[in-house]
Amino acid sequence: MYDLIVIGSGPGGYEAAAYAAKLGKKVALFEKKDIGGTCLNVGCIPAKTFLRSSRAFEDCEEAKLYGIKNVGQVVLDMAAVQKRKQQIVSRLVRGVQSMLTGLGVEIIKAKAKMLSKNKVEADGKEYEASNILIATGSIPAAPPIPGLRDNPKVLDSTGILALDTVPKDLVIIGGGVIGLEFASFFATAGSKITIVEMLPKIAPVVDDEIAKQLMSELKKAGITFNLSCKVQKIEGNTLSFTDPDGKDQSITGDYILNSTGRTLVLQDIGLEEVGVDFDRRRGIKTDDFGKTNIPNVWACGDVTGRCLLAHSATREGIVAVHNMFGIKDRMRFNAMPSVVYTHPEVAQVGATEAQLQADGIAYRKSVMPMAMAGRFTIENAGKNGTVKVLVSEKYGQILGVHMIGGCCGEFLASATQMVEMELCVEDVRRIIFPHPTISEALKATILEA
Amino acid sequence: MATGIVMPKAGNSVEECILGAWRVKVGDVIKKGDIIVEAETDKTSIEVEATADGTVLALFGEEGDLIPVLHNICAVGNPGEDFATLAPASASDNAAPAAETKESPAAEEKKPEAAKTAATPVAANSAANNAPMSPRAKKFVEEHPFVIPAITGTGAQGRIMEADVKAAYQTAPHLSSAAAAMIADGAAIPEAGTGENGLITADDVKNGTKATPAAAPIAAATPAAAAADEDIITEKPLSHIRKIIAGRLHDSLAGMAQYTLNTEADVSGLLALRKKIKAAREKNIEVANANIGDMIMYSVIKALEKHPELNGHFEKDVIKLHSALNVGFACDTPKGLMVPVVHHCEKISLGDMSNKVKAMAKDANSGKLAPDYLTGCTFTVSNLGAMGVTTFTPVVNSPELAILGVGKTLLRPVRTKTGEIVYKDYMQFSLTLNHMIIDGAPGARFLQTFVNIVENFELICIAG
Repeated sequence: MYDLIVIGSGPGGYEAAAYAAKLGKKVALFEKKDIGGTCLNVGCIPAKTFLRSSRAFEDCEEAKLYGIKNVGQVVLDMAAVQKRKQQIVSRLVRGVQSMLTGLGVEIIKAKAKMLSKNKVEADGKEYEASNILIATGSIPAAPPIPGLRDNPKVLDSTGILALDTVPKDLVIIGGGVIGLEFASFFATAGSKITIVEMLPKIAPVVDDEIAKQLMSELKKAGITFNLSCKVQKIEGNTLSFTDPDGKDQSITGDYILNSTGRTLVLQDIGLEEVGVDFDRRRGIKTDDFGKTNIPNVWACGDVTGRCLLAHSATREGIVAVHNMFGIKDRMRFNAMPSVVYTHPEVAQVGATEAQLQADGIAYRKSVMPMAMAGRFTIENAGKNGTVKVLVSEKYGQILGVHMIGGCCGEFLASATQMVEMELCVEDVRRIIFPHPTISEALKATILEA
Repeated sequence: MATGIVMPKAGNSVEECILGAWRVKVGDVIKKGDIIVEAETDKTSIEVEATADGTVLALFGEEGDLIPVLHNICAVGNPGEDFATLAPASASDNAAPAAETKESPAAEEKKPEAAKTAATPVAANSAANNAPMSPRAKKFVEEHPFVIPAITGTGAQGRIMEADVKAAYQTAPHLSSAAAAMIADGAAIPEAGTGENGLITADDVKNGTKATPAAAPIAAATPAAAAADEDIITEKPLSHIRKIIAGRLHDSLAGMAQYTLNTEADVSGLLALRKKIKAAREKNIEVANANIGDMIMYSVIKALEKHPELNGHFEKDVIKLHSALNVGFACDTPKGLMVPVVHHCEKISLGDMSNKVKAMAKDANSGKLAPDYLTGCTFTVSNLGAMGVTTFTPVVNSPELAILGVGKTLLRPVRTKTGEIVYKDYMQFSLTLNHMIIDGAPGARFLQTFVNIVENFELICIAG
């Protein structure tokens, strides 16, 4: 009898398992594939190793801006990039694995299915627990586009992460975060990138003003955008779509990247059998405490459909563990940070301007160039960056921070705390920011709000 | 021109008083000397008299408000006269005026957040804390937005110290900066917060978040529990004075290693003296009307002279022994326990002692004892013998070091030197001490001295 069975070892599941073990609980963690889930194996981590390599590539190309000569012909060796990615992934997976074992979490490498609210079956064996946490995550979506499925020329995020050559032409379906990050990488690596997006804007979760700047930066990198275009079919390596004028167009690439979103893993885990309330598109219904409609059955991460971000999954898992073991805690999504790891990076937390307008919240805004912090110019020769801050009209409460430029995701945590703790402009005046850092631009922008 | 009536300064140590129920209302015609309101200090209550004639134009404050002394509480004059200048300068100076006319609102600020966030004193202070706060405690409260619960001050006279508010801050719900600004603007404090660690967020203020039911709602709903609730016949919050008493006594036991030494003394000498005094007074001989209680108080003074190590305070790891013998006596009053203090008993005569004790007890009972007579005590006597209590364990009046309990007089058989059994009157005494400071032996030595004085009282009086 376990105190907790966790199904799925992504950042939601493994962190929850580890934390429950730290609280002294008996925990079993089921994983059908690799420890670490999508994030560690075929998501955040490998994608960021790619992007780090392309930044090194850019640094070499721009070396003379920093007074470095004789760099020579810069070549991105995709096979070596792959190798580095694999080494990093393996090292991190091993790290997580030994951390879990060290804490006494029992790792069971098998596909688990719930039999009842406290029974799980895997490999023909039954396991009992007082609590079950479902953290099965999501997989790349495969929309019903004719010719998309079972087409060797169509890759999803998992497939493209396994490429060991740089495609000459890459067509990307979807201008969301995943598509943009791969576009940014392969554009630097030398691919000709064409993005086909159904919506009139890219990165729909990003504040409009920042998204516009991102698009112009990515255009500078040679990426072509086809917005408001509807994909019709794929034939071989040719994608046909209807442009905003209603004309049919087609485009051919060495590969077509399908980055149209993610499908939640809800099937074959026993939801129907146990009676867990879920919706095929919106996921398992959970409350702010991580509870499902079935007592002692909890869920966190992508599978709840509430927020498809690794760090949200982790926090949701901790909230669930707290509540299952009598520690008061509650999930809040209003200060959810998110970073798009393109070059330049986009980092944001809190409400976008469009959200505030839709909610009828009176606000003031302040937009300033990141270059007002000396360090930005030092670090990013010839580049642009912007900080945009939204504060409540009356009290100056920081409601949203939106940034683009350099590696601005690295100081987003500071803005996240401000939004979470509901700091106001005057509170930030009292906080000391290190000099010289790019984060000073954040403070300066807030103080102007 | 309208005139203001101020909260009088009821004593040197009194800085603020709590308004009681108004005895007048706006529109009443009053004369100088009329009682307009009762007010409480942390120790006693006073009646505030009108200091001007006229019609009541406005009352600045309502029952329960804490008003600094010498601040206007009332405006009188001719009907229709302007009294705006008499109103307290700001809402934090006094509570909101009870009159129809509101004080003019402060000028709108252009950038309100500049004044309303970090620099804004928290308005979330619950009405529970009427006790005065030390300047450092006030500063801490101003700098830390949180919902201040009822705090029992550990300072002198229940004063709320910095340590008290810091301790309260650890457990009280905190306010986000934005929520604090909204509350300072007059928004109601929600019951609970949904933010990190129960942080009260702006949304909680907006939505008036309710506290989630306690962990055991099933138990609360059982018929037995409901029946128990129905049995409650009255439910009233503690009065300010009772709150002070409750906090003090609790802190005394919680913060001190108290122990009690019991003994008895032959009081036949005292009883004989009392008889002599009565007889003398019947013959109109001028002699102080000292009763047994006065004699016990006097004996305590004489014993303390010989044992100064029991006459003082222990606070924050420092023992302060006093040269002044300020002896307090516990007094049962309609408002609860009070300890009037006879200051400077070093040179006092039995007659003076007797007169002072009687006068103070009378004032304490009628609620008229000046607050200054309730402070500065260095040793307390509590006498329950007259109420039939044989012996008891008094609780030290912190930060004092000891308290003497006086019990009933019992008839004891005593064998005389010649072998006869005679009955003598023995009064019971119990001395509670702070063992952190006073060990058993010095405590016992004090009692020995005290018993010796009681048993040889007349000789001691002659010796002066």
